[in-house]
Amino acid sequence: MSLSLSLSLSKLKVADYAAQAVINTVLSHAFPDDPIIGEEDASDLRASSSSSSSTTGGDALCARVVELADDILAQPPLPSFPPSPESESGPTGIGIGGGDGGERAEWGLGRRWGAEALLKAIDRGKYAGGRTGRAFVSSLLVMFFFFDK
Amino acid sequence: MLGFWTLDPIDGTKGFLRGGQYAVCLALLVDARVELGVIGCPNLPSPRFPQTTNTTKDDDDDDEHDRGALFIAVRGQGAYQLPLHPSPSGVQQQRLTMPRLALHELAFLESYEKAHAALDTNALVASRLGVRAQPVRMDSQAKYAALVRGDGGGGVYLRLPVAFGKHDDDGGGYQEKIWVRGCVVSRVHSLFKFKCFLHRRITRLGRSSSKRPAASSRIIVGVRSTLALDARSVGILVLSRRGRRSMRR
Repeated sequence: MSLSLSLSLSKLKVADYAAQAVINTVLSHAFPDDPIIGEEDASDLRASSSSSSSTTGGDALCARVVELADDILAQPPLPSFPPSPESESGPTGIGIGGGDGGERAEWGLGRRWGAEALLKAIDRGKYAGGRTGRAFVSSLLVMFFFFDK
Repeated sequence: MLGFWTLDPIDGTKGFLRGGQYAVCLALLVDARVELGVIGCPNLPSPRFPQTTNTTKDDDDDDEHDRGALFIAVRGQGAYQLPLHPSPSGVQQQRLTMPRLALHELAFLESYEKAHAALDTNALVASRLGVRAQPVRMDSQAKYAALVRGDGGGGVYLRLPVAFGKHDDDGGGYQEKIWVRGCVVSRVHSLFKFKCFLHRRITRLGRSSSKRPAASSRIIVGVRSTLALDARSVGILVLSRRGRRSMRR
């Protein structure tokens, strides 16, 4: 029971960090100057990966996050989505991972980045937010109190 | 110009853990206005299989490609859904429009967790409105996606804070915004009117269910404030445009 719970929790952590690593990597390539407010930061992953004990769960967590994020970033392009007739005025070019090699490279896709680059990407989410400091980003709700006057 | 991205890599922790709904949520805000919203919902039925209506539980037997939808809204360009797992032939993106539902067709979308919203009050509001359908409960901001797509016959997402009406004694009282999202109800014609309608109902509810003065002074129902408070959903961009247009009329 508790074993399966902790397994689930570590799955959740992997998903959390890996999703942020992938999205921040793409955003950082496409829009290098844009700040990002993300929920996670990589300090826990760094602490665990630099610890001397190589058999800690945290170390495995970091390795798994890096592996998963790199698998996603490096995967070949998926079939693109031709716009449907009634949506001609809609956003174009939203095929996931589509485009030619050059375009994919601009988005940071089509290659593996490795642990250091991915941890750095996760930390891109540390932007403090608006005038009153870091916005509170919870896994339940996102509330931007600072402009809710 | 202040612009930034917000990212919640996994929204709906509990949904994720129990194999229910969770969402990957990304938004671009420029000068406190949402310009782009993206919600990935790996456990919602894929747009390729709209007949898969069971949105709250997943089935280990089904093909994972039956599930997964990506929702994208760009200000001024509409809201779209795409399957997360495209078929080899390529799948078209679909433009989303708010379904028009009559009052008797409405169902409430609600949080799965009782701690996150006053579900009892929701039930009262639903009964006052004459909504008979059972509420559809799911975790995370996948609710917004379900709302714009009309999943589960949904139609209204009313989120009342749990503390509603409970903190009046702690000086100054408790003030909270009510988050209302709904389709344009045919009988009520516009979201704005729907809002007023709901507001009146809630005010009456406040009068009848407590001895305190009417709750109206404490409650702000507003699409604009809703937009600011929880800006990241696909649905709201659609709603707010429609709402404003209706208000001008």
